Amino acid sequence: MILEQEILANKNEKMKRFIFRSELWVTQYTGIRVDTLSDFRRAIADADDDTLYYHLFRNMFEYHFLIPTYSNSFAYWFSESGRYILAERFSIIDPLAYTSLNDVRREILEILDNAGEERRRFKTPFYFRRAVRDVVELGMEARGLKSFIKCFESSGIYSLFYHLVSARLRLGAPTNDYSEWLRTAGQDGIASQIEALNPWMFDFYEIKRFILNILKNGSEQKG
Amino acid sequence: MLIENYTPFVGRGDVEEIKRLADSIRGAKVLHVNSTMVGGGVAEILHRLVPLMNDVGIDTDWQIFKGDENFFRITKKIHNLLHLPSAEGLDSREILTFHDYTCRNLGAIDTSPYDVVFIHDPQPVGLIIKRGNGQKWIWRCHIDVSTPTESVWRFVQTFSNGYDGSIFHVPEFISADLEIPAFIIPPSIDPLHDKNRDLEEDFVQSVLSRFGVDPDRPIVAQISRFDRLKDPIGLIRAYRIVRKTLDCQLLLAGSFADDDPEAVQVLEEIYAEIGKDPDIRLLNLPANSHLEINAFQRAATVVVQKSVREGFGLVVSEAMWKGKPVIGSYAGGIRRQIINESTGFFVHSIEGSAHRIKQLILNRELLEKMGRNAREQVRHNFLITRHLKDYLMVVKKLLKG
Repeated sequence: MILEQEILANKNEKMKRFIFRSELWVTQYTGIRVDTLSDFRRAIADADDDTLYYHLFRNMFEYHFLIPTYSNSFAYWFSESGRYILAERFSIIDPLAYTSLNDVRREILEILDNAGEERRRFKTPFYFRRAVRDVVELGMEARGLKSFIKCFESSGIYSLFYHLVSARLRLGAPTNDYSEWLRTAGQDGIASQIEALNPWMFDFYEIKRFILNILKNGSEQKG
Repeated sequence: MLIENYTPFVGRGDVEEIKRLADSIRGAKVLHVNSTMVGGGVAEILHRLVPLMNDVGIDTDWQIFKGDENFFRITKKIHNLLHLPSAEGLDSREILTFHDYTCRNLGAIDTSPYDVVFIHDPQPVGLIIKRGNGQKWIWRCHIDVSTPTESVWRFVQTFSNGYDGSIFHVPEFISADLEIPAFIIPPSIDPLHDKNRDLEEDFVQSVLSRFGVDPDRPIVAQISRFDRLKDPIGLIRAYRIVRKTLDCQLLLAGSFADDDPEAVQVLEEIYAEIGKDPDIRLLNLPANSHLEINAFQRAATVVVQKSVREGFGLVVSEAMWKGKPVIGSYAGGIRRQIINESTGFFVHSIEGSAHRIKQLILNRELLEKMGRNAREQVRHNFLITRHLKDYLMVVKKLLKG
């Protein structure tokens, strides 16, 4: 529901102003706890999107100040139980390469199917949780590159997550809110450079610094 | 605004998010109920959270569920039996006393003006009988009920099942047969509390000098109650392994609870293990020695939390906030706070503890890097601002779906 409203809001705002928003989560336990591979597979097949979203992005959202060893909580669980090959296969899953979480789910199930049926218990159970999400406007909006840079500088890390990361799934395209808006403002070069950033490979403070540099350099070249 | 005082710690963006989130539920009236105004982690956090919720515009009150010594003896028993399985249960007299005090408080606590009611822990859980139409009630359980005594859990569930939702610190604390929705909200520390606020270096030095701790040699510290479950003896043995090749001191600091008869015995056991070692300081401090504990954590080279079993163990976050990597056992909430090999180390034995203590004392670069990561981990996940945001999110979710 939130996503549909966001998409609509996004379309209406194109070519106009950029409203800075931020994404907030609180975690809800789904009540599903598994400790075998076959139960894990069943739970993945049944999990709602908010559950997949939580586990795929949790490391990035909660530990954005670090570059985690593995990219998602599934991989960490496998690693804790000494299933390193599965941990690595899960860690290479890039949900940002997809336009829907269902496609990510298909990739996960394929990896599990190739791993074969197994009833051996894991060292610790996996607790399926979901992200209860909300999006708030930060009361900052940009109508040009200068004001965009100013607002971007003062926005927080969860705003960066919302516009750069979750935007890809929301927009259903390999882009982000910043780049979309920058294109409408005639800043195609800057937009492409931001699109090329890989948020999995750096901590979010670095990502913010990179974007700020891109924006400032672009602004100087134009000016 | 009070919330602005947190800007230096979390940044303008985070504070702005909280204010905007609060704006979206403005007008909501919230009540917190627990059973004590002083002492214990729940009261401590409510003393901070309630003013903050009001500060961001959410009309929030806090009321106390009253009981006498007999009632609290029974609820302590309930607490223990929810924590661990036992052949013991509640007898009919205890059950009647519990109901009696619930009835007395039903009249004393007015819950009717509130949209959302947070009930903390099992003591006031029976107040759910008062739940009015349109109200949302949340049971905030601070206890690990993953392996409860069945009969006592069933007793508590007769009440908790009437709630709209529950909140637990970590999913591992939730009973497999919990029937209501559960949010996961870990506890938090307040960077402005005496336990955590910045201290002048002179003050830290004066505390060390007052307690006979040498500021010029590495300090290994564990801050905890005198309880076997904190494994102080194991830590002393780990320290002795380190001491064979490395000059350092061990500081064991904690408070002595008058109502814990076992603590006397544990303290004696620790003294016996220490013997005449002049480099081990065992400090039994008054319960409100926040500034002293703060100073010890800041002065420590390495902080250890070698608990065998642990609740959440917020003392880990307190040390991490001071830029200290923590060497901890893989128990309770410690698992959630330490990121292994990034903000500290998980250890599983005396030898493992000794190895990591040595490593951190000798490798200054690693120590500092992990210390920086540890502080960041707390900044983003265990400060009171995150806790406030989570509570506001729960209120919003309950009221607006």
